[in-house]
Amino acid sequence: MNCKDIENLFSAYIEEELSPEDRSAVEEHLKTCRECALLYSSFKETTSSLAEFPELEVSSELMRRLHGLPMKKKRFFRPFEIFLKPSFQPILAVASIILTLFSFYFFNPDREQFNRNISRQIHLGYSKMERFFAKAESFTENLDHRKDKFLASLKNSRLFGGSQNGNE
Amino acid sequence: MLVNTYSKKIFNMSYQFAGSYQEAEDMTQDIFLKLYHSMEKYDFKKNFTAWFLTLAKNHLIDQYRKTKWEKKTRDGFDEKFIRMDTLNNPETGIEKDETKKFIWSGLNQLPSDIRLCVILRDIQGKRYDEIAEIMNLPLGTAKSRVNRGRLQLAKILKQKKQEEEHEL
Repeated sequence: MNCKDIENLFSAYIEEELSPEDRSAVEEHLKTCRECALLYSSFKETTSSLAEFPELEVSSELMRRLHGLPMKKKRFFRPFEIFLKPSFQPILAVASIILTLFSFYFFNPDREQFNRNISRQIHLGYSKMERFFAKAESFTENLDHRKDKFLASLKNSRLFGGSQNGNE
Repeated sequence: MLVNTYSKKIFNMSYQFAGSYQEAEDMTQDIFLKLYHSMEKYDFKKNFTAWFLTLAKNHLIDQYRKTKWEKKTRDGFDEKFIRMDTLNNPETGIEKDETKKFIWSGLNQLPSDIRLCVILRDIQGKRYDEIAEIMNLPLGTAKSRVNRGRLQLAKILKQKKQEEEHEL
């Protein structure tokens, strides 16, 4: 056994839990290895010192605090306990954001101005949409026109039996 | 009744673990509060002391993880800790107290779970099977953690002694 193996047996050796073979191996090693013998001496001193640490008395102030502790957890009124569940927290977060936005609107001192701004924005959006649809309509007309021209040119091409030049 | 039976045990365990008197008092209060809140989860077939000490262990280790960067030092080895050794046998008494002071501060260098295993075994005098139950570890692991903790402290003590020898 090397020094590391012997160190691992110190507790069992000191507490007399080793087999006679292991016990004599430890004793032989301690006779020949100075470092392990020194460590074992410190080991014994450590355990005996720890065993001599006395228990401290609890201060009267702490005893008073401990006796004053509530024995039962203060419980909310049961129907409201659902709000404390972690799974409910995202819903509470969303609800608080919505409430904040509503409060910005309802408690705004310039609510009339705010309403006007909103209706103007809606009108602007509406007219933008109208312009967009008008553009889309002209674009589809343009597309139809191009499609007709393309089909006419295909019809007139030699490949489909027409003359290459549409004017001929 | 619970306070009268367990306050001393829990306070001393907290003090030996954290090394700060004030913090140990606060932790003891928190542990009792946690106990009252977890009473519903207690299985009456189980050993109450072991269950309570496991709850205390979880709290101590959780707190340590949250604040370990702040915990570089422990309270000075309290005068209350020094036994009558000094009075009975002044020379060896003083030397013993010096060793105890050194080991007391050395406890801070042990990882939290190993520190707690050493405290339970050597200061509180628990059996290995009790330690295994409290720490929620297999028996062999509990034994090896106690041995590792003792070895770490013994190595610190050995190094200190060797340095003192060199100085002389």
